[in-house]
Amino acid sequence: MQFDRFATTVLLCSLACGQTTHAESFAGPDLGKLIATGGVSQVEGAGGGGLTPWALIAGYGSRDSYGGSVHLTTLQTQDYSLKTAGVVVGMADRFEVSLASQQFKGSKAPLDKLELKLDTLGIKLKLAGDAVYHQDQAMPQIAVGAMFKRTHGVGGLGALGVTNVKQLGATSDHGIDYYVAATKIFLDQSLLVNLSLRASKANQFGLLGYGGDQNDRYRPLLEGSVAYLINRRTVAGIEYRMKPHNLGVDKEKDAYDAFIAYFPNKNLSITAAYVALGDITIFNPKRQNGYYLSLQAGF
Amino acid sequence: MTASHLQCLPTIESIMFSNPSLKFLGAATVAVFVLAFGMPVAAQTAAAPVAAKTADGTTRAPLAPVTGLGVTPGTAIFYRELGGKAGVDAIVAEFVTIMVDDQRINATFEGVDLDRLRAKLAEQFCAVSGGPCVYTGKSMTESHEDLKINNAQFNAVVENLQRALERCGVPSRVQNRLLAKLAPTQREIVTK
Repeated sequence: MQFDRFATTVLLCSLACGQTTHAESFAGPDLGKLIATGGVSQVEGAGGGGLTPWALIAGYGSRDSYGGSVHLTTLQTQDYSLKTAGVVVGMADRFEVSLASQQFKGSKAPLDKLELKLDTLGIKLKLAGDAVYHQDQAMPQIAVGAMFKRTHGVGGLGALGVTNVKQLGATSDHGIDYYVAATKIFLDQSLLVNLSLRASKANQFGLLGYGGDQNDRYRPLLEGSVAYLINRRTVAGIEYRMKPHNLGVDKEKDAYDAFIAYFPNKNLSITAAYVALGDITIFNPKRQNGYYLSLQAGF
Repeated sequence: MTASHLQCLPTIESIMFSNPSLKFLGAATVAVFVLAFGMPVAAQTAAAPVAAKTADGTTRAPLAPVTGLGVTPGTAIFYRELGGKAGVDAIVAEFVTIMVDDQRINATFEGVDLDRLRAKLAEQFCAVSGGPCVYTGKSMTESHEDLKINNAQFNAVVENLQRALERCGVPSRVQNRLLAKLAPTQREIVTK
């Protein structure tokens, strides 16, 4: 229910945002950035690729303005689905705030009734460099960010007496990820390269809580994206994201994806990807692969 | 023939390398010719001088055959990929036409000698792409310091150049190579 309400709010906001997108004045949203340079919304809601936050600031506001977007994402593997609704605002091409709500559901016994919810508040600050303009320098655009995450109980495992991620071995139902991202667009080669280093204790992005019986310390986790700029409206690439392994009941694996994102204009983008998430919990030891579809509307 | 009289026609090379897109309807049409009649006929089609009516009703002079023109042996491949002198002149003509029509930025061109602007832009594009030219205009700082250009306006110009390159059938990777050379000028041009 909570997810549905949030998704509705996001859709209503997207309609409202549509009203402002044709503003010509530089005083309001200026749509002043180049197309695709705000990235898309990654799985936790920050501006980036599909799995990984990038150093780019979301939205199309130039350094004299602001921008933002809403997105709906669905990820479907053999046995699970993950739906995300989120909103992100970028200010002065410098600072970004994102909010995302996720709902994870199982469809195969014994996890066919499984339902997990995760809310993430993200902040990101651009520190240095410029991914687009500094073509004559080696320095990438660098940003730091944090993601404040909270899970909302475990649904569908009542028969096992499990209602909280702590009963699955997690130390906490909330936690914070910290990351530094470096993004460089090599226009001469039509390539975008991103490297992020994250410190996290999150189990399965945080859906299964923070820390665990196997490990309860922050680990440095590497994330990377390489994308080819097919044309100014189309980007295709691959991503990798390291994940920790903190829970005895979940032999968590690293995640990969191959994506293509299309930006018909600055108000809309659509991203399709093939995602490999690895197996999720020992109750279903099958590696989970599937499709990812994300629709983003903004200014 | 001055640069302003050039119109943008896709070259055979650009058709072969351009990404398929509905926007390149012109290119696609010629590509159909390639399939239907073979390369020699298509080459003639693309190179055939055709007089065309411009928006203001004046008749443009026919475009000289693009293939090979202005390309001397040893010229950088990048410059050749832009179409050599004829290609760059056509891109610049299209670029300036789009800019003076763009409400976001066209106030900055009031009182500007557009023929001189075209000539200097052509020199600049030729020089940065390894062509046989020397840029003789003012520095980017000097030519823009009084205009109080903000970042959104700079990007508007970049978009216009991308549109011009698209219309001229320049392949995306070649467009990006040119943008890579011009992008650092942002630091000199944006003063507001």
